[in-house]
Amino acid sequence: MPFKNPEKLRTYRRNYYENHKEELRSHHRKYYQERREVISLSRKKFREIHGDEIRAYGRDYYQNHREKILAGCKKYGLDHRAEKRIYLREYWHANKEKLVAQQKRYRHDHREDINASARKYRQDHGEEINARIRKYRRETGIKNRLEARNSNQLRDSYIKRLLGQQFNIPHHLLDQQIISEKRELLQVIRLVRKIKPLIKEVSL
Amino acid sequence: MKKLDLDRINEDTRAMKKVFNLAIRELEEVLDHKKTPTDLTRIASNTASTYGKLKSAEIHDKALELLIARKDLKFIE
Repeated sequence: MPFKNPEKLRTYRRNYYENHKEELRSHHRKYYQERREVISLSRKKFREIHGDEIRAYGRDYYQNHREKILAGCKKYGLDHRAEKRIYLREYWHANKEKLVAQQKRYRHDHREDINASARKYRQDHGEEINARIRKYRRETGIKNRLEARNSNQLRDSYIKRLLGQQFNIPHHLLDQQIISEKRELLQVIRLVRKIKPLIKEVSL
Repeated sequence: MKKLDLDRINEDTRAMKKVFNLAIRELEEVLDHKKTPTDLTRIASNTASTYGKLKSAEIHDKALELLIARKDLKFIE
């Protein structure tokens, strides 16, 4: 349906949206649910790539429109979440010492209560927390180990753990020389492992 | 028993160290695509794995010394 008049097109679109609101919304919801992982991954990726730019833009914007934003905060009674955050950050920096002292005092006065509630939470959600910790350790542990193996400078802690596992020696007894030698050995082993598939094709 | 010639051993060690360094350099050059793998690379790889075995024996000895020292400490206590 061609529209020459942009105003008419806008009206048509608005009406179409109003008339098919539920349908469109459910379609969008379904679309999002089906591709949720892909979308969130791509958002994360975008954020990773352009994170610095976005943050810099935000900072610049705040610096340039500071007065306006703060005036807006006051005017709208801090309804806006972002503005509220900005206001709170400012407030925190301005009253840091006072607030920290207040927190400490509260903690001191209500120590028993806080500890009891933490204990109760732990009791109620123990399994859940443990599962989360296990999952986190499993994921980051694998990542850390891979990083340690792949990095050129193998980290001392990784080598210490390796030596500790092999010979059952506590970490504080391992001297620097033995660690550096182990590092060298691991590098040589890695070289040999990498070269093996290449020289398979060469015959003596 | 024949007496050990320490100078000779040191000389041998130095010579072996040179060989090991050459082997490792050869492997690095092939992995950096500066050279194509040849028979020399194969020999270098064997040399490097021998070096690895010797080195690991050395480390094992040192670790054992540390372990014994620790046990002695416990014994004195």
